[in-house]
Amino acid sequence: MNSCVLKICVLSLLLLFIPGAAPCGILTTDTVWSGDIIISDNVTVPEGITLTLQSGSKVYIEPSEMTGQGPALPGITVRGRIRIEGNRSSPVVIHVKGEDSPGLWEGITIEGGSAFVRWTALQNAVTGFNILNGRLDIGESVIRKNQYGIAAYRGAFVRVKNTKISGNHIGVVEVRGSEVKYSGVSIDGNRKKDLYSYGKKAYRRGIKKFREISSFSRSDASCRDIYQDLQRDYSLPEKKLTRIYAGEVLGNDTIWEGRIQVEGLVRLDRDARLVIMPGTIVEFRKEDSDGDGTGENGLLIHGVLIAKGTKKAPIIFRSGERERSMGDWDSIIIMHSNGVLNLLEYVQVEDSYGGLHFIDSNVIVNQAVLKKNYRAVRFQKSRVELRGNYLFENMSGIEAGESEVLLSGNYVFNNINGMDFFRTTLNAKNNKILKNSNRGFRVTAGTAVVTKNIIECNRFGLVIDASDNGRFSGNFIAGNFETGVSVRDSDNIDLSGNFIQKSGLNGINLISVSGTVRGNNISENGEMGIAIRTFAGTIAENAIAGNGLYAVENQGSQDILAPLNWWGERRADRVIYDKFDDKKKGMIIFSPAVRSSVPYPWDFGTIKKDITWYGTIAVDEHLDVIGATLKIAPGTRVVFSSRAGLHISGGRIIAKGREYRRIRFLSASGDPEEKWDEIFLDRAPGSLFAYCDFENALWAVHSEFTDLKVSNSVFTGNLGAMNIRGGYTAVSESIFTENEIALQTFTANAVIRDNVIFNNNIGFYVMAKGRGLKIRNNNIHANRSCNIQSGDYNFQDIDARGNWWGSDDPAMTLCDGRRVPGLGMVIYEPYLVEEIPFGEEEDEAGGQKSDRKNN
Amino acid sequence: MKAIYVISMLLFCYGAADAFDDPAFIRDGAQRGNVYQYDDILMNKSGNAQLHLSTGGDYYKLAGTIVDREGTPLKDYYVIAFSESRIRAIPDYISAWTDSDGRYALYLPAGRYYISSAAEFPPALKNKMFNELIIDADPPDFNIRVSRKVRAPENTGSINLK
Repeated sequence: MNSCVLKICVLSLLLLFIPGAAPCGILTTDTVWSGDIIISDNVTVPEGITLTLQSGSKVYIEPSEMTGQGPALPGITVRGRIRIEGNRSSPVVIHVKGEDSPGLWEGITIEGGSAFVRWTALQNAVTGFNILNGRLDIGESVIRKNQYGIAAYRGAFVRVKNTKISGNHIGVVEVRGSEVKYSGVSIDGNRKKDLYSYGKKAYRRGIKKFREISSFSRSDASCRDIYQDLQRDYSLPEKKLTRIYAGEVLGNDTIWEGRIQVEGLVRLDRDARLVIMPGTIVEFRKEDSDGDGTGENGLLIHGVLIAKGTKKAPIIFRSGERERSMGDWDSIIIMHSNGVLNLLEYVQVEDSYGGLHFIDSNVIVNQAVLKKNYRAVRFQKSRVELRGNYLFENMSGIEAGESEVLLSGNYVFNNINGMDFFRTTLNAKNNKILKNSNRGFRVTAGTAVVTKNIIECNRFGLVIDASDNGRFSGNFIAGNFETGVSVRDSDNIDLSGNFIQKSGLNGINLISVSGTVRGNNISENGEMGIAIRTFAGTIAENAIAGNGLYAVENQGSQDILAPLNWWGERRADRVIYDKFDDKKKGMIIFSPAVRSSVPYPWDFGTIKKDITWYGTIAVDEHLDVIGATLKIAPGTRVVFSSRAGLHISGGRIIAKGREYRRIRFLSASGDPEEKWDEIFLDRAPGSLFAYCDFENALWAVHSEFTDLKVSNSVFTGNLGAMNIRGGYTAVSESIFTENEIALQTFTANAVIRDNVIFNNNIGFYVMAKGRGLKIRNNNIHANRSCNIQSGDYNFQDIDARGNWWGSDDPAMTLCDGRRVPGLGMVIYEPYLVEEIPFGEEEDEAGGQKSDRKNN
Repeated sequence: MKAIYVISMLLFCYGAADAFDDPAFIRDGAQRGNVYQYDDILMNKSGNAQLHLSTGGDYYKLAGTIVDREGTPLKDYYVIAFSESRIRAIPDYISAWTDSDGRYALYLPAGRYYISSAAEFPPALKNKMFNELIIDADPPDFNIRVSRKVRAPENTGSINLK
């Protein structure tokens, strides 16, 4: 057992002269290190404290030990100040002795503090300097052999001068909201990238050596404004103080109500129960006897805790200080309470250091809000169910070890780390893990079933490490700014049916993995769809398209089976990087490939952010697109179940196919009796359909008050093809045939030009106000009832001059005021006497249709 | 393990309860500071616990669905259990509020219980009907049917024991 776990170590000046001293824990006084220092655990420099490393110091990092919550890498966390004062003749060195590998310790993490660094060499870290929020001023130093040299997040101010950043995996990561300035800096020779900026343009002035090709910028536009409405906050009216508890033991059943103030550690005995009534406020005064910057008061439950709030009367646990801040109190610890259920429902926990902490206990946390805690929820060896909770603005959301966990419907967002599960049996369903600065969702050495979660806009989306037999399926994993899914050292993993899009770098990383990667939709990731170091298993039936560099990269030497995948618009061999590109690599055996992908069931409900569909997307019910752009890539098929459809509201749809990569909207069954509903454009300006085919709908395109362009599309076998009301609509070069009604308009402002409208029951049905229509240069013929029918409420004339009607007497094909006096007339003269020859060979001059005759 | 369930419909007419008269037993001398020690657990505030724990194996899980008369799962209900027929304001055992699936779970030591459901906390116990159960093994799903009007449960009467 690590002695640092047993006690809080305080390194005082006295330790300065003890070679090999192992400082750890939270520093409580200003501290100076010099000479040789060994770090084997995390050292925290709290607010108000300064840690100084004198010139010539050598800091040796010792390998970490496993704990109940996973491998805890040593590191230095700075909430106060750190000064590393090397000089030219006596630099400071921080590293793992004798090691060249990166990732052996966490590095120096700045959480709201500041770092001043001169003449320092730092290596072997996960991230040399990880600035979550705070300042780094570094000069005359070398940062090398780390996974990341410097990572600057929102709220980071970084000055780097005369420093060499090389030999790391990635030299510098800059995230939108950070400010990084360079002066005389060399960022060169980093393995994957020298500079990766996300959501911002890197400020390159002052970088004297810099391989431009290695720079990479990604837009965070799709993450910027999403999920603004998630924040939940319980509140209660102010209450008079009911009772003050000092450091006390509750030996019998106790009920709390009103407003309780805790001025110590309140412990509940093993056989007692504490019931906290709805509407209770529990406030903890700050007591920081050890001077570490965080409070010590809290609850320690050995019996049973029932904190059962209600929707209308929640329970609030918060700081009792006038100005509340994170870490004012310690935590609610439930320990050895593994029989009867402990309940925390409709509670709000804020301002704490440790939030909720369960050890060997049986707990349900339901509809809770946990915000602004260092650590919101953590537990070991417990049976825990977390349902419908909101965890945000914490340093970490959930940390679990060796437990049995059911996780459903939780929102974990805007934390530094979202969720970490170690050696845990986990069932996670329908959770949203969003915008966490570092990791979104990590499973280490556990057995997990992770389905239907939304993991979006984190730095790392889903991380699976040393876990066997897990199933990760049907998750929406998008906009994570490094990697969507990282799997490492794991066997028999089932990664299936996930939608993985717009990761900054790779969609999926596979390193020493066996299992199955099947039925995923992997698209528009910055570099690789799937990057593979070593993988044993099959990669099959995926749609992998539109990724930045390659669909699949084989970085290892073994051949990999990848049959029956759909590779998008390009030939498979053009989007695969393997032995044919580098002889040292193994092959990707991609044959046979498929011409259309296995249907991907869209099971994520309303689309509220910009996404792109590739492959075959199956829509089983009405799907709303609200305030977002739904793009549909060329070659995509959208298959609807009976009566299913799309409702685009306030956003838009852009379905831009190509002549030979048409987009198809179809019914899933193909049975004409099982029609899909419609694509309803409800104030969806800027929508576009080009080179699209619509078949077997009730109304294929129903547009209201939408500026819409439809071109080069084909509508067949629909009850109605297009229904247009309001907005400006342009329909051109399209074919409408075998529909009951080809086009129906109602007060439409539409230009219908260069189309073929034939073999429908009714070509046009103008319900009302036909004056806004312009019907020009179309072939409108052989429609069984009427080529154009003026509706019972249309009393305006319809401008349909210059079309070909397939008849010497076009008036006979029109159902208008000529048949029913009072209805609007179709103005069809002058008209074309010969059919417009659409579809003939285009001329060499650039696609102008030839042989067209206008009257 | 042999299990016997005696299911009967009981009707308790329970008078006005004072839920707030349980005195807190207060003892000085709780540990302070940021190092907690209890039994075989040692833990510090920055870190993790090293554990040698019992399993809670003496408890049985009673689970099922709270439904209305039409069998529709009920949201925002919970199950209560008393271990003796003397009813107190705060039940001995309390489940979490149900989701829209109506599922609940309770962990109970072996014994005789009086089971009901509620939609407010603390529960209104007057005229509440209870099911009597004897549990000495993990039982099969036990659904509780609620008449919305009086919010009194009925069991489904369909529990078959091994």
